[in-house]
Amino acid sequence: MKWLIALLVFGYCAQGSAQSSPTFAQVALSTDINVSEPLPSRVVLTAWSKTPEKHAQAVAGNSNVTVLKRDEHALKLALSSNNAYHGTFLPSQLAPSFVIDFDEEATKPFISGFESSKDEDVKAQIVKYVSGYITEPSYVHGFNFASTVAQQRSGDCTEYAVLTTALARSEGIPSKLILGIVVVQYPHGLYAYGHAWSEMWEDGQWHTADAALYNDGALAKFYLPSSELQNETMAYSRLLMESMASMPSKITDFQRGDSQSE
Amino acid sequence: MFLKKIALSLASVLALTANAHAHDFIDTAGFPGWFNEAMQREGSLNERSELSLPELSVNSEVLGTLVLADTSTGTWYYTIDIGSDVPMECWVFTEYDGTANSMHGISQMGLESAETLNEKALSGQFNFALDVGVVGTTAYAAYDTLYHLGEGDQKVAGLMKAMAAETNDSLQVCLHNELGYRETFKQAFVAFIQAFENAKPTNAFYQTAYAWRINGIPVGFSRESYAKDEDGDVVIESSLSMLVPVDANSVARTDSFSNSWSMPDGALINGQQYTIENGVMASTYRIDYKDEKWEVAGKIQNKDIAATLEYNQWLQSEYGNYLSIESLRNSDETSDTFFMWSPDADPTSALEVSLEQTESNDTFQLNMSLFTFLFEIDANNAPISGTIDYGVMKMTLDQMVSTGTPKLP
Repeated sequence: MKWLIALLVFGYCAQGSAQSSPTFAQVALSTDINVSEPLPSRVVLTAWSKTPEKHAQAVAGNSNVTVLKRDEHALKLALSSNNAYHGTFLPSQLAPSFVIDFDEEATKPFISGFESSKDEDVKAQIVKYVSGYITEPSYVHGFNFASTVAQQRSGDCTEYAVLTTALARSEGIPSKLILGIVVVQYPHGLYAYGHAWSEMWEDGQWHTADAALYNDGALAKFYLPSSELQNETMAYSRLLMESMASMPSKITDFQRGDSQSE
Repeated sequence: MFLKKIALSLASVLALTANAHAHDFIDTAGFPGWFNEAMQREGSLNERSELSLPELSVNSEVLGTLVLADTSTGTWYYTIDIGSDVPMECWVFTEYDGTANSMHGISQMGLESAETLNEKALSGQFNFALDVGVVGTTAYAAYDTLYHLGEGDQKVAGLMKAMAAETNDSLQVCLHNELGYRETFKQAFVAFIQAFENAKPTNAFYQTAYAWRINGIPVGFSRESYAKDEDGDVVIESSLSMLVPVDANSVARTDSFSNSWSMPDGALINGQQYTIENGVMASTYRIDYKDEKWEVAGKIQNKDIAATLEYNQWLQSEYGNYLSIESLRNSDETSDTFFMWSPDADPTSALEVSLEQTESNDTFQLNMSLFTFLFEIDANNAPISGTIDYGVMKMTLDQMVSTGTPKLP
């Protein structure tokens, strides 16, 4: 029974440049709407999980996610595609850590390769740089530290998010790694995936920064967080597993949240 | 008379193996007729050969015509004619990464050889099938890759079949690069592994192996072996090999190995573990009890770790888990709580675990803060099958084989 704990984090992740869809990261999504029509900036859905109360706590304070109804199995939620919300940051969200190790020698060439321009939003530049820095997108990695990703230049959404978070902090921008689900509308359909992304803090607001899905051709994206990587120490793996276990297992009743449906 | 002997030997090979059906990822119904016809081909294993490898105490017959084609220190390379155009190839290694990593590495090497032989570049590869099973008490994994070489009118397709098993202190990996011959290849592989299985000495009082599946897909196996050492303590060796199909084209490879020692009462004495992921040493851990403290040392992704657990009391070993089940089964108590060290979750602290007997005497659940493992046990107090619902993934474990009983003789 020893290896029970060696569960892997292959429930994450989506990435725009992959050759094919991830086998275990796709989350079942059911809807009656015409998914080829443009989506409004607000949608409503039901997220099923084993721990909806914990999920409700995880989204509290994020104004892009509103809990409309809860029961013992699911949360009915409204999601906004506005990827910024008010909040404060902690000093630790500026500092290097065991996982976000931008202070390691191995990470430094990646950090020093970033040259920001004053003509463009630095957050957008970080996302673009990380997206281009990873030259071998691949789902085979479990969860790699910034120093490992910086050397291997390979990974899936967790590796993109780790590297984005590391670069933002090295630039003096508070940043954190978020785990959850992304609902993406592509021209060929609507999908939900287990996902990881970064959030960067600026002017009193947290902003979504997703290098994995940069320039992926999506028509719309809705981010549903289920937890934050609060433990960036040697015990990070335990938090990842807890997050995975509490992640929604399916999305139902996905609807438009604008006046057209109300 | 000769044919009858062969038929009996094949029957004995099949009787010694156990597995569920392989999981095929690709439905070939829409493929051209010639492809499906080629996929139906099988060979006839009418020949038998002598496999003699004194360094590993192997001296046995295998199916097919075997030739030792090359050898170097710690490596032997054989070809086996199984009645197909292309012979089956088998490697024996005494130094290796593990079943999953090494088999994948050899399979990729086979694809490179196909590129060279055909003078065409690899233009696509797809996971075709995964499987796990046992030969005697030896667990094996199988991974088939459908591949394309070249482009446009010059494009050709092939099927690289790979199987691997670890016996005693050596690893056997076999490849067959030809469409079809799936059952023939498997039978020849099983016979090859039996030659090593027959030479495998063991002083274990209990051995078991489990097949792991995620959402019904066989992704790997775990093995456990328990033996009594000269001090009367229990030596525990366990391993996990996984090939997880993360998308249509690739598999994530993990091989973990663990050695630990347990007191006869189930208390952990010390232990060590290492994990190789995708050909890279991902982590090494060691735990020892010194000066009334649990000390941990090791590396994760090349970064040193050293920690003293806050908890300094009794840690339960894997052997202790079996004793806990037995104790609950034979008493009026329905639950037990203990602490374990699980470095994959957190190498720096002890994990509280509770074991509960549920509806029947044979059904238990192991509760960790991370998840609940619901399982049924056999007469030996060992899990025979279990499930974990884990977000979008449902993991199942099924016992493939066990020998002995998980109790010190």
